[in-house]
Amino acid sequence: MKIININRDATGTVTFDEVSIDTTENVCFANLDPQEAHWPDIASNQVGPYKSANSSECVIQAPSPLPGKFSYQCKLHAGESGVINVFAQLAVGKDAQVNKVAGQMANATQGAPIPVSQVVQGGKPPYTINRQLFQVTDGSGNVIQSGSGVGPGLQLNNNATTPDDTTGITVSGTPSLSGTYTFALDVDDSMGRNLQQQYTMVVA
Amino acid sequence: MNNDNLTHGLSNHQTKRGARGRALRPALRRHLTGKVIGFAAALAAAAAISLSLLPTTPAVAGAGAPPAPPQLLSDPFANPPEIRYDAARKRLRGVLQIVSGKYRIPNVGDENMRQYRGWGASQPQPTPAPTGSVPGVSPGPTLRARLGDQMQISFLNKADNSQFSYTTNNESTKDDPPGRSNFGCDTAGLRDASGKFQVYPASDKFPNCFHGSSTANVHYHGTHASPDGVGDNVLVMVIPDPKQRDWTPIFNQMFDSGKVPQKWSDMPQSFRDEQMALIVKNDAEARAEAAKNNLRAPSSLAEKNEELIAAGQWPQYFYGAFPNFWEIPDYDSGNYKAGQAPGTHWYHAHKHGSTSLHILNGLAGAFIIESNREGGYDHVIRKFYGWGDSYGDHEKIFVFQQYDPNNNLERGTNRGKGIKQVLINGKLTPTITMRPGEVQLWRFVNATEGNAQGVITAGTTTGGLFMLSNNAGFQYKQTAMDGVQFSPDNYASQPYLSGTVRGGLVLAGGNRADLLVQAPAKPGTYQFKNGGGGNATLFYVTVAGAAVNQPAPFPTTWATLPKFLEDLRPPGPNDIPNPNSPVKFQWEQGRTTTGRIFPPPPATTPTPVRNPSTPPLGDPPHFMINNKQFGETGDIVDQCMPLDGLQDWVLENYTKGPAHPFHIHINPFQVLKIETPTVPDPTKPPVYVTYTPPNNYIWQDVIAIPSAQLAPDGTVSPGRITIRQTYKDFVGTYVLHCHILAHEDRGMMQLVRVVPLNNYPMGCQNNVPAHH
Repeated sequence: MKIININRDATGTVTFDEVSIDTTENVCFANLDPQEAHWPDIASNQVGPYKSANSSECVIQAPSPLPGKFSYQCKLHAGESGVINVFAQLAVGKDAQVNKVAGQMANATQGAPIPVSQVVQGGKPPYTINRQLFQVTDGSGNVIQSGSGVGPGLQLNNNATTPDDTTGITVSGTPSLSGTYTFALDVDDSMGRNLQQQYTMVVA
Repeated sequence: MNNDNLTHGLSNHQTKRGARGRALRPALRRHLTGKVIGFAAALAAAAAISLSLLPTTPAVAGAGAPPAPPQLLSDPFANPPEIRYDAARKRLRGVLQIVSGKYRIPNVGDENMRQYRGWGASQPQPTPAPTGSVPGVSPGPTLRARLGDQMQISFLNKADNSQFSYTTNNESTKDDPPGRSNFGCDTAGLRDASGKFQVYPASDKFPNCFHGSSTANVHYHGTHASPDGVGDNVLVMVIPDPKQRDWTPIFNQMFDSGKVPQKWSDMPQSFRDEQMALIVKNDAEARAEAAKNNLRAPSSLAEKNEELIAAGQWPQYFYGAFPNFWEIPDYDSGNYKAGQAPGTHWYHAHKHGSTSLHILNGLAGAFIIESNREGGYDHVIRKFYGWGDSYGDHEKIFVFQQYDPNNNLERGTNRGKGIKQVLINGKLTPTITMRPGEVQLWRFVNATEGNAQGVITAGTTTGGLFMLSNNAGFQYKQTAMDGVQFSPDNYASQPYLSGTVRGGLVLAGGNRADLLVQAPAKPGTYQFKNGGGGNATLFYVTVAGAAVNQPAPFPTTWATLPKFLEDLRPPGPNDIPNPNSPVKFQWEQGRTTTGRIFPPPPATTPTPVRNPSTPPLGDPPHFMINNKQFGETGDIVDQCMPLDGLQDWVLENYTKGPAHPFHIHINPFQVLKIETPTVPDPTKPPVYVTYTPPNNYIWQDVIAIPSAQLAPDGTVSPGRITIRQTYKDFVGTYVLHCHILAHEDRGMMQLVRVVPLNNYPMGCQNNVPAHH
């Protein structure tokens, strides 16, 4: 479950924390108003009112099974002073998770460049690569070489720096060994989502 | 906020105006740090892994098995940390607390989670995680005790409500609307025209719905203990208090006395007074909150406590802390008619309405009970291998868990990523290292939620123990099921691994198994996949190094059964039979399939046009036993048995699909017969395949009842199991339930009571506790 923190400062200005979810997640609005006199009413989804004394209580479904951005209106009932309206956007999409593109990559040829291949997509860039490890084995399963990286002659391209960049993470280069390349990635997106995935490519 | 890391949490929660960026800073800080540390870790990991991937080491899984893929991201296997018995003092004393905050689930990310953490009386408190770091999820510490030890556990619930929704235990929405998650069922989705939440709770009714998930307790699964008082009491509900006073001096003083309180008035006066005052205060706060929101005042927890105390029973509601204090029955002491079976047991939170979410948070741990008596279970194993008085590295404890911060809330397609993967001790596909020919004791604990992905299927030695390792040269000997040692005959015949029991070794949620495992002679990396759960990889074994010369792989003379574990005699004419057998696990009358079913629209209403990509909404099944959900007809005892009674029960499953795992607390049972309906010819009625051993009945405390099958005319052939059980040593009130825990939360549970024979059946319905 993703919790959307609703904050209000001493001047009465209200903000939502930024959050993105995919269609398989619930979201929950949490009122972090330290004065405890206000509570959110998520008007556009009619799930309120919810009093929330520094606790999170309301859960809504992703509003659509289709990717997109959706605007939420939040009314904060401010006691005698009326209602404050604020708006926030939820990014809902199947790519909100960090996903692998494919575990089994297309066959390649030793000494010939491979097409630039996307191996990670979705989530919210920038990505942090915690681990990248490889090994190359021969036809009998014997390890020819292993170490850090994605394999001899190949490189990982992690160039997505803005949240809306859909480049993902790619692999490119020219494999210098023949055999089965196996490499594994441990990746975080900027929202703290984690992907641990292994990839295989046969190089003849 | 992470209780392990207050600074980090406060920086997140004190975020105010314009602090969107600041709210993200802890994550960014971790990522920036991760870039530095991560690179170093990558090198270290590569170096460590390369030991198992030397160029001369074939990564081939033995003759007849396909090559195992490399396990590049696999962490070394590690047992959970342990709270160990004090042999001199004959006790297991420790603190077990629930903390909460951001924890990392491998391959999922950082989520708000509740976690058990703890330490032994002679151990220092764990060091808080460094500021800015996010600790990994893990089961709670392994508890290790010996027969005859006193259990002295201070349970502290320090979960922080503000990190979670659904936090209290009242029932003011029985009539809904208005639905409010903290006064009734959890809610999800949009309201329909009548104000009912479409997705959840839909047609679920309090208390048989997901709710109250910050309140918790500890169930010591597999123990033979008093179900009342400070024993294995799951009717106790401990409301979270992250800022609680230090209760441990009061508890330790009580523990030091060595006298287990038998009634509420035996408890320390200061604990009784302070706790009851805190519950009164909690009631007042709940009433005030209800009033502020124009809701009916919730029922008083303090009044319920007072009613129970006045009736000479134990109160149910506590605030922040509760002690568990009992002696582990040693049969040889002569003080018990039955004993505790030494073996692999476990503990987990057991709060009705929250058990599934708790287990998905990882609130579970292993509980190992040993007997070192000459000829006893542990003694025979350790003596044969020369392991001394403790198992050391020869023992591997597998706590299988799914970690997901979210219940599925009855949306099958909306399950999170975490529920689809089974971790072991909080690690994704870890690697065990063994030497060729080495033997280890593997203790499996299925601490998953119990759904399809969480069924751990090892199969048989001829039909794929964990799939790919079959025929790879591993040798297996199962020594115990559900923490109860095999009889010598079963040790020899291996009823599960031989396939005599249909399906081989399949661990439903809550099941345990002990296996002695010998590594093959051939070095290599071996992959173990779960025969259930989509054949997902569970773990690897790397066999490397100098061979171990083990003349015989397994003990040639097996431990004799303690007398109380010998086959129970058949009930005779003087044994009172169970009037409520068979125990039928079922959905609504006539319903045999899962999923949500729409009532047909009125004839005058056009069929609604639905977006085909929108999952249909309708009423999900109600989970029932013997035609009712838990507590549906009030707080009554559903199964009442006389102390020392001996009974055969029939368990039946009327649902097609899930094999509901039956679990009963306090006393294990013997499995007499398993009747599995099969459909060899769809045009004909189902045919039963029956397992009926003549003797040497296997003891279990969880058993999956086979799914029902349908005849062509729609007649249901239920799966059926016959068990035999006796109720020794302890009177009191406890539960039986389905160990697919979302089913338990939603009503598939019964209240059980054992009363003295001279009070049977008069005492069955007196002062029945609630379990909300």
